[in-house]
Amino acid sequence: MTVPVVGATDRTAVPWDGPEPYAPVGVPLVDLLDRVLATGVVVSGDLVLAIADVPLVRISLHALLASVSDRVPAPWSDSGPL
Amino acid sequence: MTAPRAHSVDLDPERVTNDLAALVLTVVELLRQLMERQAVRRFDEGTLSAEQEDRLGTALMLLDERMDELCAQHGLQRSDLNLDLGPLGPLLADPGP
Amino acid sequence: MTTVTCVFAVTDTPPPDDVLSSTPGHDGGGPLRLLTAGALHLIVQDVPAADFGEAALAERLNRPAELERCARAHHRGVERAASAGTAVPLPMATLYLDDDNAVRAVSAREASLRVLLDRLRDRTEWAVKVHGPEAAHASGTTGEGPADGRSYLRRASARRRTEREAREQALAQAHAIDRELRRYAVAATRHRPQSEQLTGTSVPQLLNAAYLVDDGRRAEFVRAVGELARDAARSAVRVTMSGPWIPYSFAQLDDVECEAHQEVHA
Repeated sequence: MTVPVVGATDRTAVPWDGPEPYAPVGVPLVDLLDRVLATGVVVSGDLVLAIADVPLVRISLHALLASVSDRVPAPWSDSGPL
Repeated sequence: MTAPRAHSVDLDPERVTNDLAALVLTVVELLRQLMERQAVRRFDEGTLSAEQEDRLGTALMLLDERMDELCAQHGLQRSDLNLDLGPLGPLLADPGP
Repeated sequence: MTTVTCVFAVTDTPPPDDVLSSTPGHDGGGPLRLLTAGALHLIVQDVPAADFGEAALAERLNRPAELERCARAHHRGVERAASAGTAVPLPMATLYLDDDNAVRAVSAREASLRVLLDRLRDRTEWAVKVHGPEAAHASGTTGEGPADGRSYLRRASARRRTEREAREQALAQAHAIDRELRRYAVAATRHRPQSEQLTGTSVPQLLNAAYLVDDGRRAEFVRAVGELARDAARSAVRVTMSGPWIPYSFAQLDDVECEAHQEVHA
C-alpha cells in the first residue's frame, strides 16, 4: 500500500491510488456526489440567477438518482440504519 | 427490476415487455414474501394446527416453485425481482418478521 | 455572451495564478481566477449564464452524464483552491451576477469563514462505507428437504432466523467499525445510505461515514481502516474507503456562525 507520510501535507500520496482492495482508484463518483450535492458553505444573501437554491435541484435529482436530499426524510430518524 | 433499467427510457418493445413482466413479478413476489412472513410468524408462535401448517406450507411451497417457473419463462432470475425505491431502500428487502 | 461568477471555494492561502488558470473548471467557462475579499480569497470562474440559469441547470443536472461532468468540474476547482493550503468548499454552482456581488457575500461572512478555515486546517476527510451482510445463498427454499408443507415452513422459519441474525451481526460490526474509527478522528458524520443504483450492489449499505482526521494521524487512521477491512473480509461485511477528500462534509457554516458571532462581540 502507498503509505502516506505522517505529518506531511503532501496530497499526492493517496491510498485511493494504491492497490488496496478496499480503496478505489481515482475519485469515486458516488462518494463525490454525496459531498457536492449535500454539503458546503452556503454563502447566500445575494445569490442570483438561481440555483443557489441547491435544495431545489437536489429534489429533482432525487427523483432521478434516488439520492436523498435534506428535504426528503429517510425512514430512519438519523442518517441510516445505525 | 435491476437498477439500470429503472430510470431509462427504452423503446425496444421486447425490453419494454420484459420490464413490465419484471415489474408484475416483483409485485407478486412481494405478496408471496408477505404471506410467507405471516405464515412463518404463526408457525413460530405455534398457533397453527398440524393440518394448517401442512396446507399453508404446501401452498407457499407451490407458490415459490411457480415464481421460479414464471421467472424462467420471462428470462429473469429471482434476484432480478426488485425495485429500488432510493431512500426507502429496495422494495424486497425481506427484513423478516 | 453573458456570464455569471461561479465561486468554488474560499481560502486564505491562494494558489498561484498559473496553477489556477491551467485547471479547467466548468465546461464552456473561462479560466479559474482569484478574487480578494479582505484577507480571504475566492476561487471563481466566469460561466455562461445560459447554462447556469435555474431551469437550465436543473435540466442539465438531471442528466447523469451532465451531473457527473459538473460534479467533477466543481471538484477540480475546489481541489485547486486547496492546493496551497486549507480551503472552504462552497456548494456546487454557487453563482453571483458579478464579481462584486461575490466578494460582498464572502466579506459579509468573513468571521465565520475564518473560523471554518481554522477548523479544517491540516485536516483531511475520509469516506468509509460498510456493506453487509453478503448473501450466503439464494433465498429460495425449494428443493432443500422433504416436500411437505410443515417441512417447508420449518425451513422458511429457520432461513428467516438465520438471515435476521446475519443482519443484526452485520449491523453490530458496522457500529463497532464506526466507533473504532471515531477514535482517530476529530469529527465524524454520516451521510444517508447510497441507493443501490449508485452503489451498484444489492448488499445493504450499513454505514456511509465521513471522518475528519488530523494529517498527523492520517497513517494511523488509514492503517486502522486497512485492519478493519481485512477483519471484515473474513465475515459477511465489506469495508471500503475513499479519500483523501477536501473536508466537504465538515464545511457547515451554520454551526460556525454562532461561534464567529461570539468571537466578534467578545
